[in-house]
Amino acid sequence: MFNKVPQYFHNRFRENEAQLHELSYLFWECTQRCNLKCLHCGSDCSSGFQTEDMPFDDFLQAIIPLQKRFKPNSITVVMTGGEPLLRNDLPQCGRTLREHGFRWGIVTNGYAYHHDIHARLLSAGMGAITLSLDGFEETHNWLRSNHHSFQNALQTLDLIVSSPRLCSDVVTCVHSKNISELPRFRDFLISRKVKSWRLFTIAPIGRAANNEPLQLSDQQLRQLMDFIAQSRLKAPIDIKFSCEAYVREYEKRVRDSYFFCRAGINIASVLIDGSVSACPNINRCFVQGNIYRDQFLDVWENRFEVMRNRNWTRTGICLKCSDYKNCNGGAMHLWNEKQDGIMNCICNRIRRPNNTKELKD
Amino acid sequence: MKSTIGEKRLKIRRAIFGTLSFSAALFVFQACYGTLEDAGIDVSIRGLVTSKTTSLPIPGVKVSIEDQPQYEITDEEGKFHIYTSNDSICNLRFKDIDSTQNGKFLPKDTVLKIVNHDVDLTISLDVQ
Repeated sequence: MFNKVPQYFHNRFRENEAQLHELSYLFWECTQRCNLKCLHCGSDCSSGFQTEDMPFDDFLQAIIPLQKRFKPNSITVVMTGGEPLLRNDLPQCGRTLREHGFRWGIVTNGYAYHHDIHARLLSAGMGAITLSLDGFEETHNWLRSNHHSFQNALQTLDLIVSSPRLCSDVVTCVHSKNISELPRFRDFLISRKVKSWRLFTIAPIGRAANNEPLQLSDQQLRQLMDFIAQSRLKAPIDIKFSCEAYVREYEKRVRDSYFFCRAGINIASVLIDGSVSACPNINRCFVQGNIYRDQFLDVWENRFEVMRNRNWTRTGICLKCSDYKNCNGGAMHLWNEKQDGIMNCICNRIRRPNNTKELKD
Repeated sequence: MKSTIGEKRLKIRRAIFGTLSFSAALFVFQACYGTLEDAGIDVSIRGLVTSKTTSLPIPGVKVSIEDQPQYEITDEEGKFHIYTSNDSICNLRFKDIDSTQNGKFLPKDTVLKIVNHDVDLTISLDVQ
């Protein structure tokens, strides 16, 4: 009962947000080039040539009209890729965004980050950064397919935590090979003065689509939920599960708020080829327009119906699900062009008790 | 950026539903694979560095902030623009680093009291 009332109002809040659809979070897939070849990459990026980097001015001209509709300082532009640090003009892009009132940040694997680029990004008004760190050296390097990636990421981490101005966090993709080291890794992050840690599972998309060892078993999923819930009670670090799924009885125990996929509601993206969508890992069949053909603001204001009204997701496993009203079809990136059912229902998988063993501290 | 009546109604409902759901984090969020929203407040410092003797702008001066990694080099017009954290006091350091290319100037430290988020200043350096 005590959970049902706030969950009810949260569902009303979610419906209301879809009607308001205020843009506050804008991804820019500024490059598809990458300096790593991670086993789980949802974008399937690599060091090889794919699509050329988008000229910054093309992106800027597309988003300038947003200033008429929204306060630009209420919008955070998140530069992602590929690896955004491979763009030499990254500090200048960020500085120009700030001069137009937007806030900005980057998601990085930390491989090419160093003291000088850190200083230049801070000077240019970077306010947020997320670093991927997937466990201790052996595990991280395995997932990133690079022997030096952990050491480089660790140096990046030290630079980030030394700058209190930055809104920063570490993200870890949890899989069957690193789940047992999470308690030790949590303590390690605390010792490195990390304030915020976000844990993901690996969606079966992109390069991870056919890599079975990257997927957690149902029992491991419950272990992960229990680990996060218990750590939140005692550990001096803001640890949370990402917003990738509704997690039934673990809602609000593994993150601060109830599950809410804001793709297309508060989140948009401009992808490498100019496509306008929501989060970059969403299937490209959901693209809503293109900045080279359409006015970005017009696309945001008048399209995205498929993400703002998700009644169509009531199909497949969701059709008769008693949790649907709370889940609303889950995360958009777990739907494909067939639209005949969610690819991976974490909620359903944690439903079955499996005599879950806790992760040992 | 004016809200319509419909928008105002939705914003009121947002506040009500958000409060009743007891989710403090509803208004600050992050996308699955994105960063935290940048809700931090920082300070933009723009400036011009000139010669005390000639009043001409000085390019190639390193402008840094004590105890922070960021720095900028003044451009051809002697201008710089740097962002820094919103501290009440900021110690700015000016150091001529391009040898004698544009003359040689003595370093200078300046303590700024931060009273708003956009600071404009002109700094004059003594010739060495």
